[in-house]
Amino acid sequence: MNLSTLKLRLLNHLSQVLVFRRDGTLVASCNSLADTSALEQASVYALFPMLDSIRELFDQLDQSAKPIAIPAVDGPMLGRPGVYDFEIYGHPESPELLVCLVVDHTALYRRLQEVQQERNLLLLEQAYQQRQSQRQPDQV
Amino acid sequence: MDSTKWISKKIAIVGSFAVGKTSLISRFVEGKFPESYVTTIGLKVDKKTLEHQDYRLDLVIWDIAGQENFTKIPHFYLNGSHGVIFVTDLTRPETWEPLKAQMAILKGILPDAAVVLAANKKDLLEAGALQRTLAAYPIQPEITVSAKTGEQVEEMFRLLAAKLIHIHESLHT
Repeated sequence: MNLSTLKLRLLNHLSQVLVFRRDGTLVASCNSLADTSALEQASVYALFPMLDSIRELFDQLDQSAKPIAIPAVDGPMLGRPGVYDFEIYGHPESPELLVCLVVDHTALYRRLQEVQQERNLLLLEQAYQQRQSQRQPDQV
Repeated sequence: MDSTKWISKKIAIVGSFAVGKTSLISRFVEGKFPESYVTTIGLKVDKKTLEHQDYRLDLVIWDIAGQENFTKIPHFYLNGSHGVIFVTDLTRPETWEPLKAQMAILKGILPDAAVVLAANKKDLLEAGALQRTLAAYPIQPEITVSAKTGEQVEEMFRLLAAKLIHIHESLHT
């Protein structure tokens, strides 16, 4: 097994590639994260309202354009809960097609969320204490 | 014949952390108020259809994680937004004291977007304190709301809907 195949095998369960037409019709999917076999010819825009809401940005996406990145999307990916990074590319071989790469970073983002939660609560407490101490002199 | 016009718009909810962005969306979309604070990481997306005037608006709501410093808000979350609700917390001056600079940044990123400035947590202030607090705001919020009681929450989204329709009509007529 060469390194590329090994790498693919190790990372396969963390990502999914969807290929769709510019009108949203799903053309192909690798089904690594979620099975889309029952969704043949479905609209990616109906499956992902997030993508539908920014579809006008895709007009500028061609093979040479920088991908549109939407990291840390917290919500189900075709019914599979998690926190995912989305990247949308122009298809390297066909201008009619777009490619959506979805990467599952749930474990990383959930840990970050815990840290952020602790930090936010601490900042709220500090700000509250500061307001209280500023009020004290008026009350004396 | 049904003359309802159907449009879909991306709206972003922004503001400092813990001002109640997620709670406002939860109140609007599900009619519920989450009792405990859970920080949003990255982005959450919700959808709700609102009928307003002779329009049916599919609002795709991007709940963007609050930043302590608004200059750090990632532009990729805002790109393509047709409307923005900027949420502040009436009880925490640090969320509205830098409003002028924050609104200027927002206008720089999204010059053509409809914007509503909202002040949340109205339920925590009695009338006199609310009046004094609003007098201290550097820019007057267009609406004061409470995610907890639900007061004015739908009106806040309707206010944005009216602005979105106005912009939509000016571009398409």
